[in-house]
Amino acid sequence: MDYSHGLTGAAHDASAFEHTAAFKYPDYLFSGQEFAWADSAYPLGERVIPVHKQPASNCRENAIFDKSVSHLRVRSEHCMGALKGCFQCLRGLRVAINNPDDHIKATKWITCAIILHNLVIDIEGGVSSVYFQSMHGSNDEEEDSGREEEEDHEEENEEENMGSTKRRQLTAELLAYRQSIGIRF
Amino acid sequence: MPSQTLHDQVLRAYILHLTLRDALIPPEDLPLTELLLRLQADMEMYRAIKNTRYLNTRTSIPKSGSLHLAWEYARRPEHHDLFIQMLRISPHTFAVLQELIKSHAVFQNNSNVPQTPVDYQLAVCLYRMGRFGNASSLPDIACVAGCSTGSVELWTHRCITAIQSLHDMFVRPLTLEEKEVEKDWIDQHMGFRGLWREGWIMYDGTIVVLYARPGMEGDAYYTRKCNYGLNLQVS
Repeated sequence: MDYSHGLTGAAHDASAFEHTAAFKYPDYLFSGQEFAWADSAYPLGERVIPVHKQPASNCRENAIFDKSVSHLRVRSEHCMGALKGCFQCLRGLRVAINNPDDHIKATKWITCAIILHNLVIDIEGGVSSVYFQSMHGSNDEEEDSGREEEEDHEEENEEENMGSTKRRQLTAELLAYRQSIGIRF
Repeated sequence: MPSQTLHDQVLRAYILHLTLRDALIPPEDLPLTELLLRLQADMEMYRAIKNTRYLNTRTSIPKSGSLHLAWEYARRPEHHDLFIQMLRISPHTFAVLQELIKSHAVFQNNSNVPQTPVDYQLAVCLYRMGRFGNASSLPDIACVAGCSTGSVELWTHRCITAIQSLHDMFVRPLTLEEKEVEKDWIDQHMGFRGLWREGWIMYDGTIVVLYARPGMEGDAYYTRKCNYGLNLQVS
């Protein structure tokens, strides 16, 4: 539904995310308590709940939380797999980038693939994407561990506070549920 | 460095020839009329090089595509998987897509020579989008499609323009009902209802790998996965 492209490969996921609609116009996509899941490379916020980063993710409660989120998030990795499996030009885009126009041209390929992907889902349902998932190996779609980024989180701003409150609430909910169905901590 | 065109190469060679000639036979020794004639000849030559469209002899390349097989495959349901293998989408979706883009302005020309049928152009574009590596190189695609490399480039460009006009129709925020479906899926997956169901969208980044290091600012495209690519964020 929402995407951003055009940044070069050197850009980090977190900075690329700042160009998506979810970051720029959160009210356009979200209402009420709604938020998005993300992996640990993303900054925590009211609208974005990533999994925990390295030191924090060693904690037991956080690990349980992360694991549950990963089970949900595997879907978005499948989505990538389907996109790249179906339109394999995205696995090795054959566009020579020698000037800014070529860069735009390359991004047009990506836009087209996304539009077609959505069109296929609208028309055929999810059937074909399951078929194509297997064609794109899981080699490069592993979860980002976030280990490479060990920033100091000294300056906790308001946005992050709201995010971490939300994340704690989610964790608490999950733990309560697990207890209620009898899984020991 | 960008490669030189054939015209540039020939022109450079000719200028080199002029310089050498003037160095060996200094023009001062020649009578004025001779010089004038020579200048005229040089100018004619220059114009000829500039205005000749094809410097090499042109031979027609034998062409015989196999893309028409797609229509054969589309006829029988048991061959539909072969169609999908070739063009990445089902025959039905292909028909819908063709219907959507066929009236786009890029497929109109003000000429007595009609364009290649839209379905064929679209097929070439889709075939190209479904390949990477050397299978997606222009000569290979041209070989399969039975057309020239220039046509492949032109057709893909047209189709990409046409498909882009469909952007807002297919890339849009979810409606409330669709959101509810996603939230129900989370409920089902987690086994309880709560704040978790509000997370109906997921973000992830991926790298669209490029086939080679870009000529322009190649270093900026270098990724942490040790290849060159573009960052893509999808939800």
